[in-house]
Amino acid sequence: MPDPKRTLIERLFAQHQAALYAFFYRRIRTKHDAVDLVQEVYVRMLRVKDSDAIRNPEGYLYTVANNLVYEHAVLDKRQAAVADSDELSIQGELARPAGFEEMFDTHIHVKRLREVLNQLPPKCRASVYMKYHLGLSYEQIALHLDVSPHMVQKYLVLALAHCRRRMTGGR
Amino acid sequence: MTKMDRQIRASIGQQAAEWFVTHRAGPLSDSERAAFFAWLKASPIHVEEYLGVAALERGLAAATDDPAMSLDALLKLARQDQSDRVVDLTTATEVEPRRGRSSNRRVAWSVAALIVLIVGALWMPSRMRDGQWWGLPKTYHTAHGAQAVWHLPDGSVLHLNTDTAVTVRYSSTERLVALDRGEAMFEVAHDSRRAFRVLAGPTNAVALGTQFDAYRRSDSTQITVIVGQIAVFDGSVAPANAATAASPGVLRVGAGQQVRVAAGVLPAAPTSINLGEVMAWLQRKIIFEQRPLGEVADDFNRYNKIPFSIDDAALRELRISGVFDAEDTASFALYLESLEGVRVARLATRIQVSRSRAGAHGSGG
Repeated sequence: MPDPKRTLIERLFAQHQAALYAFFYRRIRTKHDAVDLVQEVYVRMLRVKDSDAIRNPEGYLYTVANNLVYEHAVLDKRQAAVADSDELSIQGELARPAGFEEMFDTHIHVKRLREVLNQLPPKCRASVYMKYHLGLSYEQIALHLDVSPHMVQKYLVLALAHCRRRMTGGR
Repeated sequence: MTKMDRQIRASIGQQAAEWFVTHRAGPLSDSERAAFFAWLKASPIHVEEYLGVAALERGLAAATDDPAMSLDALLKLARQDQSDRVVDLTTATEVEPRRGRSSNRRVAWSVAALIVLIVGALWMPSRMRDGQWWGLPKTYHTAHGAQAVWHLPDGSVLHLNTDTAVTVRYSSTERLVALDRGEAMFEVAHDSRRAFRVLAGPTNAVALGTQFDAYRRSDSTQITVIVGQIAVFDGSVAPANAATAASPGVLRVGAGQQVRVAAGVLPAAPTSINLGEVMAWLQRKIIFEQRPLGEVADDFNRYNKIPFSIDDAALRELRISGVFDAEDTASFALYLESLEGVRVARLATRIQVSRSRAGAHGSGG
């Protein structure tokens, strides 16, 4: 990945991805709990009266979501193992994001996502590949496809909206 | 029903994806940042979809890490494809997002609509033999907070929203439905010999084969056409003339258009509206885009036991936007509270919405 091209937000997001994934893992497993979580994220966003004070609303959103995931995880652990509630070991475990990946059935998820990507028009698929595998910027992708960077954004919007729709198609 | 829900979700997912991609293009301007924040605050569903799209990023990195994919092969395919299919796929998948391939779906959809219309016309005589529904009025109603769907004997479908009463009277010449109160959506079965007429107080609407929504508010009646065309007219016009003639007092309303009739007076022309907003109630959702706060609060009050109460007339006119579950008054109250100059007090019997001191002016207290 060409690191200089990454924005602050991307780096911030990269740091929080594991927790966000856990957030959505939860959503799949126990829908009720996840609905509460989304609600709680929403409520905390509403509490921000002075939105000008927040320079980065997207980062703020991720932070709020992550904090909640951690709070709930701590709560769950406490409830599950009251007898063995060593605060430090819990914190230690939470600090290791690798565990979340095992919880999630990555293989099936990725396989399904590949199928969904194959439904996209070729230029969309190529844009997704260049953005998420090669880490190219919109401008670089635009040069490869001989279109405007604005068009690349359109391809990616279509791809993301399509994937989101298909991956949650069960409801 | 779930199709509608998927459409609402799909359109919010689309907005979320647009914001997400915009964020990756570089820092937002101040006005964009404010708009994004406002968008997040407008609905818990916006928050959920944004996080959902964001979470895709990692999955996409894994999915594109595939030996079967190569840049050369993908670029070759991309260059061969001269059709700019960006728009096509979105519109087509929104019609029926779950099954099959998407590119020809729009065509298939309109062919299906055509067949339904023709079949509807052929069916008509055999369906008329059921004498039970000749002239005998029948009333359908829903309680506060409830919804219901009724299949009428002619094949039309009646969706009733909360706190609604409808009286249906069929004769050999017309199918007359009186909307006594509340809101109903009609899927009208085609019958060229018997017009389908909806009477909402002094307002009439005549349809042949179409779908439309009628909503009696306290001070006006709102009619929205989803599919097809209807004629809306006042009491001065004979129903028999309304469906055919273009006479004064008759307004033609097409798909995606709405008329609001207040005090029996028809507007000069219908307005174009966002159908998703009007149809949201079928999913027990309340969607509003730049609508007066008082009106939105009234919509919530139709579903819930503890009503919103707003005395300040100017506050009732404040324009707001959002997407909420109809029962989720807690989120709506918090949303109102987050607006500048608005104060919310949760009392035992009502939720009082008023201006906070900082936002009040001219009221002398």
